[in-house]
Amino acid sequence: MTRRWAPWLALLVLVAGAVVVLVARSQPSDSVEARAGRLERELACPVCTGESLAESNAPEARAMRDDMRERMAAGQSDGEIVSAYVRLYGERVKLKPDDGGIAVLAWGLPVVLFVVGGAALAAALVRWGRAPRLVADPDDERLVARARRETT
Amino acid sequence: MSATRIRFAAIGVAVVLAVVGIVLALGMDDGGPTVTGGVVGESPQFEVETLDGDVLSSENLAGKTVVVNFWNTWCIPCIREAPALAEFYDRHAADDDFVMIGIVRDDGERAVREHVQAEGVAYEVAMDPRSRAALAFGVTGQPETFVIGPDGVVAAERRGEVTVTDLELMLDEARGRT
Repeated sequence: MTRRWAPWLALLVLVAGAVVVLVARSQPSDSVEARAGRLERELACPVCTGESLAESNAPEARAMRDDMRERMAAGQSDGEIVSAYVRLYGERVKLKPDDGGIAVLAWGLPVVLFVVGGAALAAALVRWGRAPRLVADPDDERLVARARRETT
Repeated sequence: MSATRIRFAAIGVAVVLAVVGIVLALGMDDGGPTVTGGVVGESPQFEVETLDGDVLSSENLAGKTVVVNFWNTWCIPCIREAPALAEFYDRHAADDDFVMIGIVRDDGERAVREHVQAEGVAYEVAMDPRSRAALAFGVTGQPETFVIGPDGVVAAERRGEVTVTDLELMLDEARGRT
């Protein structure tokens, strides 16, 4: 009995171990560098056009990268740091929309449009599939035959 | 199109409008108006070193009315507003509580020294090599001008070129005369 279950038990342990490792590795790191790296990608360089803090080499971007690390070392949360920059530079400093309220439109609208578009396409395909094939009746045959005679 | 299809299309449009309406209504309760940024009402902490080697900071300037102008030698609007800044400084240089600093946003010290000497800039000019002062004021370009009241709070800010009239109005705001 034990021998019969042993391979399944081993497989279960293996899968459980893999899941634990995957979950542990997928948790965002709380280190200052990891947090700063995330924020640098989510915040815009305030003196650039369309560049994130991570991409920009402008003096202000470098100053912000240093400043956010100092704020983290002082114990500020990511939210507090973002709020401080929003106070200084306005909402445009955020490259990533908020998760709630009106920002839901930014996240949700593309999904809604994708679903609606997919549904419309599927409905159209079904409709086209149901359309009866056109079959030539004797009148059509006669018309074609006459046309052929006239062209030869 | 049949009446049933038209009815379904109308219901679909109504549902989409209702969803958008609900989302917009939620947005209105979500943190109030959009924040546009700026330091008016804030007390920026800064420390810069002038070309003469003096340190000017929010601490040692407390109690003064401080005009801070961010500029560069390569910035055309900065060059255009320079006569207005010079005239304004001449008017107020003798005021007991008045300090004016030109902080260089992004430029080489040599170019700045040459410019200051050639143009006879009379007020303090300071470098900001790590852009910490620019960050403290939320500077997004140049020229930008701020006036800090004796309480250390920014009373007025202007992004872009200023005139003497602009500067006088800003000074009045900082001194509480408006």
